[in-house]
Formats: sequence, C-alpha cells, structure tokens
Amino acid sequence: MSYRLSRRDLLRLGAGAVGTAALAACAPTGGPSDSAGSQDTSQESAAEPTQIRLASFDWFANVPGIQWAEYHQMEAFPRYYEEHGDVEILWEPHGDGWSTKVLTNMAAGTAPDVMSTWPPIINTWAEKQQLLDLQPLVDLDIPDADDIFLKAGWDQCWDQITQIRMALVTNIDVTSVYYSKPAFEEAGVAFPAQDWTVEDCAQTAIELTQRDDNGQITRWGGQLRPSFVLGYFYYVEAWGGMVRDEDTLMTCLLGEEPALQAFEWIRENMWDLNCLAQTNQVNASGIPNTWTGVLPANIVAFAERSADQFFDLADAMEEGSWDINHIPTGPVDRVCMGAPDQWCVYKGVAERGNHDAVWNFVKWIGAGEWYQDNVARMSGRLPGLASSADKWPSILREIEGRLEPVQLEVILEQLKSGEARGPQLFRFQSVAEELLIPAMERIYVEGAAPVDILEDIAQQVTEAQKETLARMG
Amino acid sequence: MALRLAKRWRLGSSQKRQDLITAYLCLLPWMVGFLSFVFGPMLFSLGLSFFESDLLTRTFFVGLDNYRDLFREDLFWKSLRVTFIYAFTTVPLGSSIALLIALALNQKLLGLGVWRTIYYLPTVISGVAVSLLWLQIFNPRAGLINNFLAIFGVQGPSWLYSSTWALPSLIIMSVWGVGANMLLYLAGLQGIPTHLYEAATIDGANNWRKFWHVTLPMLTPTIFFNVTISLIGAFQFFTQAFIMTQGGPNNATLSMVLFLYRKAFLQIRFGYASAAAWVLFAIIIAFTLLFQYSSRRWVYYEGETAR
Repeated sequence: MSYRLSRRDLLRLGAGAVGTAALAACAPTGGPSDSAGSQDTSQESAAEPTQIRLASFDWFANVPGIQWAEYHQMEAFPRYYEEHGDVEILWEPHGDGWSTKVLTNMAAGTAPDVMSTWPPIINTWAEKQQLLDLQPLVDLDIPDADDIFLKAGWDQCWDQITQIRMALVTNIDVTSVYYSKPAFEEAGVAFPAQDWTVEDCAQTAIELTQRDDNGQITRWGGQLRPSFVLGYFYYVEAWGGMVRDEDTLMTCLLGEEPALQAFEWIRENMWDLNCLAQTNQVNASGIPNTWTGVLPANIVAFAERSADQFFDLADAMEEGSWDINHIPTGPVDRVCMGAPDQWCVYKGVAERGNHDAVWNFVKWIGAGEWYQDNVARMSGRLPGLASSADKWPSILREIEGRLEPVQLEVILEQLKSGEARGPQLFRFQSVAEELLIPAMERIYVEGAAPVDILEDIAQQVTEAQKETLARMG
Repeated sequence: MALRLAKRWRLGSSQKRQDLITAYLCLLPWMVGFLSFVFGPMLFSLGLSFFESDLLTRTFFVGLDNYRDLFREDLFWKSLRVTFIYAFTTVPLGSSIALLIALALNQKLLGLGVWRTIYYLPTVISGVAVSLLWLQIFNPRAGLINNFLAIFGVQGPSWLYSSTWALPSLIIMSVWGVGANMLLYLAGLQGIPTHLYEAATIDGANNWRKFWHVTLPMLTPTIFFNVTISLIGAFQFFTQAFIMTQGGPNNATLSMVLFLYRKAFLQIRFGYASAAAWVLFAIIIAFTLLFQYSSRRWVYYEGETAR
C-alpha cells in the first residue's frame, strides 16, 4: 500500500514542525526535569550538583606529555569532587580570540563563572565592572593572603582604579636572561655576573656579535624581550623614570629625560651598533621572536625570555650548556617583567546562585597547596602561592633531570627581591597603545625615527587619556 | 507591500493562495535567519552608532557625535586611505590577472583540468593559513622573494617590517586568491557563442580584434559581477592585516575593519565602532551604486536589445 503525500499534507507537516520548534524555543531551559513538574523530579533537581563553568587555555602546560585540559578533567576535578561532591565543573577552552569572545559573553550575561586571564585584559574587565570583588571573601577565608602569595603576583590582582581584588594568581611569568655558555666560551667572554650592569650587557653583546667575511652579522650578541610594554618599558624604570604617573595612571612620562635615555640606549645598541638583535632580524631567522630556540640555533648568544621554555631548552641544548641570569642593572634600578596569569570570577555568579561554590573552587585553585604545587608539576610554570613557588625548582628538576645545573633559583630571587614586577599600565591602556605602539615601531622596527619623537607622543597619550575619561563621564 | 499581498490574497483562487503559502513557507527559514542574524543586528548597530556605549556599563545618546569624532580622528582617515589604496589596487590587479589566467586556461592545453585545479586551489585554503604562509614568503632574510631577488644581486626590502612596503606586500599577496574570479571568467568565456568568433574570422578579424570586439564585450557581465564582489570584499579586508601585521608598522596596514575592530573590542567603544562600520557601509554602497550606474554604458547583456 502506498500513500501519496499531498501538498496540503506537506503544509500541515511544515506548520506543525514550525509550531513545535517555536514552542521548544520558548520553553524554559533546564532540561526535562523542569518540564515534568512532578514532585519527584523537583526533588531530583534539588539533588543535582551545582555547576561551575571554568574557562582556561588548552595550551597552558609546558611539561612534555601534559595536556592542561585533560589534567583538569581527569585529575584535578575528580580530586576536588572528593571533598565537594555537590559540585560539577565544566571545562570551557579559551580558543583563539578568547578575550573578545569573553567580552561579548559578558555583554550577553553568559560569561563563564571562572576565567583564566592576565593584565591588562583583566583590568579592562574590572573597569567595566564585570568581575566579582574577591577582597571580602579573601578577608574572611584567606586572612593571611598578603603573606602567603608572592607579592609581585598578588599586588597585580588588585585594581587601583576600581579598588577591587580582581583575581587570585595562577602563576607568575618572569623575564630573565637566558644564555648559551658555548657562545661565551668561544668568544672568550666571561659569563654574565649576577650584578651585571647595562654597560656590561652592551659590552658583552658587542664582543659576542659575530660577522662573516662580508661584514654580515651571523650571530647577534643579545636580544631584549621583544615587546614594547613588557620589555622595553622596564628599562625606563631602570633609568629611574616612569611610564606614567602613579596617582592617576594617565600622565604619560615617556617623553621625560630618564625614559628617553633608556630608549636611546636600546636604540643605539639595536640600530647603530646592532649588537642587540632587532625584532625583524630574529623573525627573519624563521624562529619566533619569543622563543628560546634562538640560543641553540646560535642566532643570539643571550636573550631575555619568559620563564616557560625550560623543557624545550633542555631538549635543544646539551646539559649544562645554558643558564639563566638576572636582567642587567640600569643606572638607577634593576627591573623586569613579573606578570601573573590569574583566575577571576564573573560578577554574574551572584545571580546564578553558585556564588559560594565558585568561591570555594577558586580558593582551592588559587590558595590550595595541592593545586598550586601542580601548577609547577603539570604546567612547569611558577606558582603564585609562595610555599609552592619555593618547591618549583626542585619539582622542575624532578621532571627533567637535565635542569639540575640550571640556576632556576635566579627566577625566584628576581621575584622576591622586587626586580620582577608588574608592567606600569595606563588607566586606558589600549588608548595609550594606539599611539605608543606605532611610534615605537617607527623607532625600533623600522629604525626610521629618533627616540625624541616620544616627547610629542607622550603629550598626545596624556591628552587621549583625559579625553577618554571625559567621554566616560 | 502588505496591502498588495492582501489584495492578491483576496483576488486569488484557492490554488493561488496555496501556492503563495507554499512559497512563503519555503522562504521562511531564510527570512527568519536574515531578519534575526543580519537585518536585526544591522538595525541595532545603526541605532548604537548614535550612542556612547560599551554594552556593559553605560549607554547614552550622543546624536551624531560619534560620526563627528570619527571624521576628526586622524587614524580614521589613515585607515580610510589604506583601505582605498588596497581596494583600488587589488581589484584591477586581481581582475586582470584572473582574466589572463582564464584566457590561458580556455585554450586547448595539456592537462587542462590539473591547471584549473591548481589555480583554484588557493581559494579553498583558509585566510589564516594563507597569511602564515605569506609571512614566511615575505621574510626579509629567509623568505622566498628576497632569496630569489638575491640571485640577481638585488637586496629585497623588509616587506612587512617596513611602513613603505607592508601595504604593497598585502596587495601582492591578494593575487594569490584570484582563483575564484578566474573560474567565473572561465565560465563566462565558455558561454560565448562560437558563431560570433566564426563570423569575426570570416570578416578577417585577427586574434586581438576577436578579443577586443567579441570576447571582452561578451564577458562584461562577468567582469561587472567579479569587480563588484571583489570591490566589496577589498573594502572589508581584515584577516591578512590582523594576522600578519596587526595594522603596523606605524599603522601602514590599518584597514577600516581593523580600525573598527580595535575601537570595539580593545577600547570597548561599540557605539563609535558602529559609526565607523556604517561609514564603511555607506562607502561600499556608494561605490557599488556608482559602478552599477556606470554599467549601463559598458556592460552588454546578450538578448537585451531583443527585449
């Protein structure tokens, strides 16, 4: 028997499908238990675990063979459930363009409960009142917080403008000098001393720079951290200057004499003497500018880099052939980047009803020793909790025996001595960068302008900060 | 529109009414999608352009201030200049090269299918992958171009690291994606009736005259379509600049879309960015209409005179 579907039938079916879809779309979310409405089901839903949405980076772990997402879901979360069986944690990977996506989620009110982030992105979220102030909770549950966290990281969890505790520290990244011992030995140059100065640094770079018969450089002596804000701006402080004023964070001081002297020191060594490699010279090697691969490739003899590539270096270089040192001391100070990755909480948890569960979890990952030890063990990064940070060198050496001769303790010293500190950010950082980055590119990427163009740019930055504040009312 | 529909409904037979319902039911999914995800957001964005808004904490009416501030901002004019240079260089360049390749691939060549596939292949590769590939090609020291120039003793420029060469680099790179245009030209070429060429041959026309008096006029609808679509795309260029140069150095590759992206997502000024988006929309519409208007003079549709 066959049945022929008439057009009328088709229309009925279509109308039925559209109606069903519309009803389904208008129905409240929450799964089948909500729609059933019986007493039994409501009891079931009462027993359902409280959900916490956690957004973080899949690429975060540097330890070979460890996947950050997998570690959390297979090990960290089950461990947490042992003590908090009433909670379910949902892992949401921060993909490409994560900060943009989180921002749109915030506008829609659908941001994750707990999020990985770092400055200055977190400062923008704080300024836009999207974060839960953790300070009252810290006061209650972690009263010794000022003592148990590394100061460099902990201080940067406080927002000076909104006066809130924005986050707890996941880990801290520090800029140090990584150097190739064979490069120094071949050139007959002494390894950098712990208290080396910028003069020593420039002289060492000159001596280590190699040229071929045509005068073409085949290896540069050194390279500074290839970032204007997280690298070059720290030299301003080393010369006794400031990036911006301390009170309003809006007056740009990069046109002042100490800043110009610092910038000129960098420019001269990078462009006139070229003993410090330019960004495009390193890019031209095909090795990413931020990577320590420049050492085994013998593109530079020493380089300022992040504290996140020990295992790669141990693989790429012979054991004992590389080491770590402090940043050179400037005429006034010795200073480098020490910036945290952070866990922050979306303000929406107050309405979502999982506020307490979220805080308990954040406390566990931020201040709990098991999790913080595992920041070192699973990611290789330096934990924000001081007691875990102290164990960090030995944990890394347990994982990778070839790190035994490497002075990992230097990085801890940099943090504890105050050498490693947060970047001096403007109140409206992206507004400042819109003017500063092109100017810095003209000076350092193109070598097409003198540093004193910053006198004018600094004034423009200050004006732009004021205009932005005025516009915001 | 509604009145017309009601009238048609009243006057139409039962069969016609059913046809009308069927037609609108078939159109419904697209219309819902268009209204929800295109037209609705566009209207919202137009409204937003009259507000100072971060969409998070504050939204207040500022009238035309966003537009006024936009036209006073140097960076906006710089991004406009970059966008115009890019659009009015890449479109003629890309269209000409696509046409040349299409003409070549319209001949009886050995392995024609393979050649056509090779030229079309870059079009199906994602913009991000293409950008990463060209980053290596433009590498000043280890890149393909400068190594090739070095064979002739020419020292290549710094390409993406030079404010002089960064935009030309992106323009050169745009030629990589001419495959899609080429395919349309090829289809257009194959649609030209052979009797026109036969008649031209009988009249004693050489190859150049056949191209000029037969091929090109018959291809004008395809050229018109290709150039219009390419122009709209070129005005919206973003991915290459975002991935390869971030608009630098010294804003030399700051396109308008990158400019408005920065304003929206870095400075969190959604009202201002919306104003920039609508200015860009107006520019694109203006040039499209202008081109459409000019097409009456140079685009030839076969059969049009018969109508």
